[in-house]
Amino acid sequence: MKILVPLKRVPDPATTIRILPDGSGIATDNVKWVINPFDEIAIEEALRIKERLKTGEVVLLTIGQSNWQEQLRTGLAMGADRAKLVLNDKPLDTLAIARVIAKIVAEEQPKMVILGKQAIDDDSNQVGQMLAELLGWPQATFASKIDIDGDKCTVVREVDGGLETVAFALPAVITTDLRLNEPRYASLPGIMKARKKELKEIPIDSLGVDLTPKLKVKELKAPPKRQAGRKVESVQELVKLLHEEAKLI
Amino acid sequence: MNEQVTRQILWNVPLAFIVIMYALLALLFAAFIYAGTYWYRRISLGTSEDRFDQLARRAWLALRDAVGQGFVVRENWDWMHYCFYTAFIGLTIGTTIVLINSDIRELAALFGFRLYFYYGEFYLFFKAFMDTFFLMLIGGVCAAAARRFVRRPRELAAPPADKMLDNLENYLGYWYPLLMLVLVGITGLMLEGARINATHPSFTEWAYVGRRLGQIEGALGAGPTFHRWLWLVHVLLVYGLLFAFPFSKLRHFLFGPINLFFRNLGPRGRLRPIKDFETAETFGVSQVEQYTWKQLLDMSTCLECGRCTINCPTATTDKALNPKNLVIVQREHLLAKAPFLLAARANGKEAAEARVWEGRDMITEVATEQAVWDCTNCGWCEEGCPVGIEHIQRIDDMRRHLVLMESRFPQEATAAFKGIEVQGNPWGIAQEKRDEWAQGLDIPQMAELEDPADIDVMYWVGCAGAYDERNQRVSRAFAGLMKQAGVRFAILGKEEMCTGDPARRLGNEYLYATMAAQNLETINRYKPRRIVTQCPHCYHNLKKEYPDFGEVGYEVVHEAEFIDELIKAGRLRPHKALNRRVTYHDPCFMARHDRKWNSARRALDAIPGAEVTDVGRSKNRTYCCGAGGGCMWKEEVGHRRINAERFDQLTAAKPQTVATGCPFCMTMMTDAMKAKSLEETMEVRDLCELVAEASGVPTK
Repeated sequence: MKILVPLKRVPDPATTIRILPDGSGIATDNVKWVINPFDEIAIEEALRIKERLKTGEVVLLTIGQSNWQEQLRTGLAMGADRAKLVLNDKPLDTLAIARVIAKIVAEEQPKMVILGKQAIDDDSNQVGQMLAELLGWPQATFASKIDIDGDKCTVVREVDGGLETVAFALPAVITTDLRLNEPRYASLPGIMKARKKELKEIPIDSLGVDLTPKLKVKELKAPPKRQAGRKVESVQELVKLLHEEAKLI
Repeated sequence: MNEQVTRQILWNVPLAFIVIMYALLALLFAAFIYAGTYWYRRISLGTSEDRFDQLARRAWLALRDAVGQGFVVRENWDWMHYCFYTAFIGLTIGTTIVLINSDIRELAALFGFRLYFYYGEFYLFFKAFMDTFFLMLIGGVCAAAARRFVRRPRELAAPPADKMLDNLENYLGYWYPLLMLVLVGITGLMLEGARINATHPSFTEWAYVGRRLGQIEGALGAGPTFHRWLWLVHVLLVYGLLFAFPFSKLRHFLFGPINLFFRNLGPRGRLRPIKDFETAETFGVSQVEQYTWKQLLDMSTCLECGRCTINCPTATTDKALNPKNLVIVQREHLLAKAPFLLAARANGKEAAEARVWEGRDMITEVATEQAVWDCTNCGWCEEGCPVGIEHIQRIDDMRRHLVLMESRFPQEATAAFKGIEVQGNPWGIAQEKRDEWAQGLDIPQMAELEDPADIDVMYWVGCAGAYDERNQRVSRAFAGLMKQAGVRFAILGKEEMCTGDPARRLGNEYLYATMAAQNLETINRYKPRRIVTQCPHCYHNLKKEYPDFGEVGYEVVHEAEFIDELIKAGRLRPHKALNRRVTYHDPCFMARHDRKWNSARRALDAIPGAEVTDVGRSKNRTYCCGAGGGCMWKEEVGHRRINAERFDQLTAAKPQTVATGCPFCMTMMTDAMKAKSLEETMEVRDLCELVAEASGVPTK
């Protein structure tokens, strides 16, 4: 089964994010880049499905600049078979990204697209859903368990307050949640082989996709700094302050 | 004295017996050649390794530690071994002297030489010596037997029976060699007695044991016939012993010196780098034949004394890893697999590749993965081993296979690997926060210096010192202390990265090589003459491992040495009294791997009022805190915690302060103290904090 895994490059979660003075984006100097953790889970799941079925192909896809190759190579080192990098340096909104992925899906004809439920940078949580709509495929978001039986697929979804099991026929779009799996650490032969695996760069303009943004990021703002707390002497004082100053009770 | 004072060699021995003696000698040679070939073929199954450098030094060290029993006399019970070892050597020399004065003497006579000195005063002294050796032999063997079969210390326990081969060596064990030794001793003395009793020479007082035995034998009616048959029994027993040498645990008598000759002369605790990442097809060791011949020799040499276990943090806390059992079961595995490997080799390369080993898998079924991951690399096993067996590399080779080839390792280690890869520290905290500990302290950074040569020393902070809250306080104390002493120093700040030690010790050699190259590039940009570290692991890597990865033009000192230097030079004056009982917990990578423990004690002794005492397990016999070997970055398995075990040993000295010189020991000992709810009455401090406090360095 051919599985397409679109992935995004994001700042390492441990990195301190600093907003540019004009609020247009984040400062990227000193930022360490990694594969979006949810997408890494998607790669792992695709590889596990391939290993389970003992046949198939895992194709990685990302949309970004030439140096995003590094993250694709990381995914190839984990075991993916080949990768596509759609070259782009303009800001894209989620719909444009979904359209680009849909275009690649049309070319590749995978049985399944697995991707992270959201990227940890802008937390949009939209691409998977939009992609399913564009393709007219079933979708299963927030997957914590995926079972495949021929063309039938069963997914356990993490929903508020519990689990929901959905069943549908492939092809389909699945987005991953945190507890789906623990991504593997690439083996050294994997890293060595990844260098020789196919990684194709495609200029975004050659795809003929409408990239007109429907959404514009107007401003980014850092959350307000936490103020130092205050120690109070008694419960009475606390209640008084909560009532009069914080006006919470 | 005249030539009458002697004995007739081979008196009363019929020719048939002499023929038996020499026929058995020829057979013995054949047995040695057979056993030699057997082991040579098995050890040659290993890969290549150069242990043929510095031959003179190797010979001297082998002589000192094998023939001179240098390693052996360190442990209490070894007086027992020393006893029968000396006796055995003495008796062998004695037999040779007799041989010289009989057969060789006759041979020399054919060429017109006179070779005879077995008479007169020499003869009398000789007799006294021989009797003494016989007594030492019997006494030593009895003590050994009492220890092995009655007292049965833990370290002598055998590995599980299902992992042991059903062969002659295992059957003979140690009961057979000990029995033969004691019987040879007893019959030897009895034989002397029987001869004295039958010939009544007038000069027997030197044979002080034999003559008394002779009197008893005479009283019981023994005559020349008894002597004659006893001679045969004694000779047969001697052969019973000699034939056991190549086929029993007595093999160590021959293999021990050989293994000590080929021992690691490089820095202790250093691991072998992988040089051929680009071309090699396999990394690490999963098949026994992937070990080097020296590692196979190690397995073949082990005499199962168990010294490696007595101070081993995992063996003493009932974990899966017992270094003795590991080396034994690996040897059994080598012997079990050898026929398969030898046959495959004989049939050529293609045939060898076509065949698949269907026996036990070395890592998962023989060693067990848990044992492979338990090791803390503390080095006790190598310190304690009397025959120079190298355990750490052998274990790490298996870790390398698991990590690099199979990506199979304790889940928790992933975070450390990724943290080092992405942020340059095993905690995975942002690299840009690396110098936050130094904020407001006005510590210069290398990149800001006009001329990097303007400093005395570059302070390598280490990840723990930079990121861990408790150890940040240590870094601040150390920096304050250096300022107080007027040391011109600078740090690398954000440019410093993890040395890669956790990755390497956990088998991720590829990541380690990357970190080493990166750090060396940074260091060589500034070319510091001297680097001081607070962390012994950074110290070890910068000093002993990095030379394998590039040009190293700096000297490395540990904080203990550096502080000791500053105090000696009068640049630091600890003057405030700290009236407490202090005990120093030696970090393994300083005391054991680097054999340095004095400077830390001198530094502590310089503090007025501090009463510094040592526990039994200190200096090179220190006991691991449990964090080494990458164990800091994975969960400890088993309910007995290594750090708790160590803390109990330290508190036996009733200290108020446990001092150490390692950030990971600090973490482990602090955790152990808190687990015992002792933080109200005790404290764990780095030695630099104590010296800083006593020197009046302002704390921040």
